[in-house]
Amino acid sequence: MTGFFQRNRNLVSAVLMLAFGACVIWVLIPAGVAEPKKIKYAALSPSYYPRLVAVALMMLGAGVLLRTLTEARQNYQAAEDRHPQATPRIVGFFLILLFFALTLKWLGFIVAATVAMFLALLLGGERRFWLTIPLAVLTPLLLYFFFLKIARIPIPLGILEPWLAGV
Amino acid sequence: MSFVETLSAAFALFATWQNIMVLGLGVLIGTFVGAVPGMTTPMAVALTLPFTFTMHPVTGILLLLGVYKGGLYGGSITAILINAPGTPAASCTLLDGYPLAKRGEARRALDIALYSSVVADFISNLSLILFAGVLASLALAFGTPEVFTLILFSLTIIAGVSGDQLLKGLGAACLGLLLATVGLDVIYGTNRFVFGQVDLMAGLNFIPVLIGLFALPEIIAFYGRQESKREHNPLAGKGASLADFFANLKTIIRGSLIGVVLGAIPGIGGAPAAFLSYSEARRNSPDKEKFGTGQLEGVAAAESGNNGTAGATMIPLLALGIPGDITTAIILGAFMIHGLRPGPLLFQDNLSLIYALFIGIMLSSIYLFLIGKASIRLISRIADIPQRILFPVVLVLCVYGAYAVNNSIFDVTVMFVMGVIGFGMRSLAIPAAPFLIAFILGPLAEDNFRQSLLLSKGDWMIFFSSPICVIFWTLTVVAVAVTVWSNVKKSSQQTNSHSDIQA
Repeated sequence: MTGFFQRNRNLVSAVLMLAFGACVIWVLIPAGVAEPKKIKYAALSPSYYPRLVAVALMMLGAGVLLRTLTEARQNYQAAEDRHPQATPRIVGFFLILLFFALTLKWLGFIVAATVAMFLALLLGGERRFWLTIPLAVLTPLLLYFFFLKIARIPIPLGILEPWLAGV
Repeated sequence: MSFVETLSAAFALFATWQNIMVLGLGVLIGTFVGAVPGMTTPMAVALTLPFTFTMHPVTGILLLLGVYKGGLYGGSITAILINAPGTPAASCTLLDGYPLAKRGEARRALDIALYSSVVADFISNLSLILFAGVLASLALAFGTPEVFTLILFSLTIIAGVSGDQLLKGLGAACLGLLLATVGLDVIYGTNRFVFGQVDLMAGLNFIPVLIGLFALPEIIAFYGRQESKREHNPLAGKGASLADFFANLKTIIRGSLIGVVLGAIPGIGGAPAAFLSYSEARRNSPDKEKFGTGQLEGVAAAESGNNGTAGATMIPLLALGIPGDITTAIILGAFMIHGLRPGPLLFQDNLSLIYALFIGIMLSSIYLFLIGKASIRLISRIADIPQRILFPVVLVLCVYGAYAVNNSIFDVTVMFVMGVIGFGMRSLAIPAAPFLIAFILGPLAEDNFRQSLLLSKGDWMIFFSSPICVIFWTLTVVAVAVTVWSNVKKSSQQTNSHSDIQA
């Protein structure tokens, strides 16, 4: 799958640019831009500028497509430093991001960041637990106190609220 | 009061241990805070403001000025080290700063960023002192059509940073322009692409978008490759030499002057100055193609443009009483809290206070150099930490930073989404730099474009109505023509070499 995208990245880019431009013009602008009842000049309309840019995007997409179809196909070579487990590792990292995003609110920043950081360290190949565990625990905690005490920005504590609130 | 009497009164007003200490403390706080992604310079100045209430006006304002100047430089530190700009104005620095750090030349990049910042800051301060009146009247000549043509000219750098992917680069710029339209419409106040989401009404914040677009894809990409040992580089771990500095001096001075002129125009700010300076440096460089791949000159151009605005933004504030950006608006607040009203009357009634501030402002450049130099040796070591350890720490820092901008979990989500989009763009070889430039400059372009048309009642000739507009149109046309010509030449050379190989 990744190989297909890498081999055909100009083609994929062109299709995405055309599709997104079309989506902006025919779906997102009608559904997402509230037009005032009276507009003095067409160029002042809230949709004028996004529409102009979307048309430009489509034209550029068409340009990339034309160039891809007329140019000689280039051979794709995978990067030399590609990790043998690249796809599962990247998917694993996306799952960590998903976990982070979904649990941030109820677990709180410190706990969510500790778990996410520990998993990210493991996924990256760091197996020295004497290093990973203190690092994963202390980094989010120190950042929490930095933002709270120095920058005066309260970071959501989530499940640690009963213990750390007011500290 | 004669000039000498005023000057000696100003020295007497300035020369207290509190002023000298507070200024250094301000630069230190600003540098540190600017280096934390998500902590912007205006935020640092605003947080410091309450501490100035009980201080002498000169002391309080110098503390804020120190934070401001330190913050402008501090933003470049994380841009160079971890590809996450601390402030939007430092976003241009990462284009060449981070590739240099990846090559092991973080210390060299940080040194040049510091030297450029200090020189630009000094030139900007000098301009403030010597040419405040002239620059203020020049700034007043910039109405919305002039600013629009200026931004349009700045946008021509997009072609330069697109490398050999010009069409895709322009496409990325269109995406950046579209994303910048999210939020309330500036003219009618109606919703654009908000879809009932209250968090989107104020538009997407720069910081989560920038962190997501640059820092996260770098982390994601790390998991797809083997952790390689750094290739031997004789410059690794070494600082910038005097030869490096002098080789870039012309670029630094040019960038500083660009920063001074743009900084004096209310509402422009450091980011457009950095991009315009970068664009001019690239245009004038014999190594154009190397820009974006770790060119020291790119860092020098971006930082001098950015810091060149530092003193100049004070020109409209002190000379006219108009704050040019959020930070100077907060500083205006500090003046008013102490019963002072910046503008022509302040020069008339409190000239010794103005001169005392000028003395402090000049001293801040020296502090910036000393504090920056002392911190680089330590900070540059961050680039030597193995990526498998550094990147998870950066991830957590980015999450906290993205949240801190608006105390919003929504911003963290925006950062994650932009990270995935940025990784997708990277995989498809779509350059992210044009997206960044368009996202930052786009709102300025649109606002000034539409406000000009509102002023002219729909007459497009307003964009050609003044000599400044005509100059910028001419520069834009020349820049586009040169880019198109060099691209045509390059592709015909490629075609010729391809047919030679086939023959």
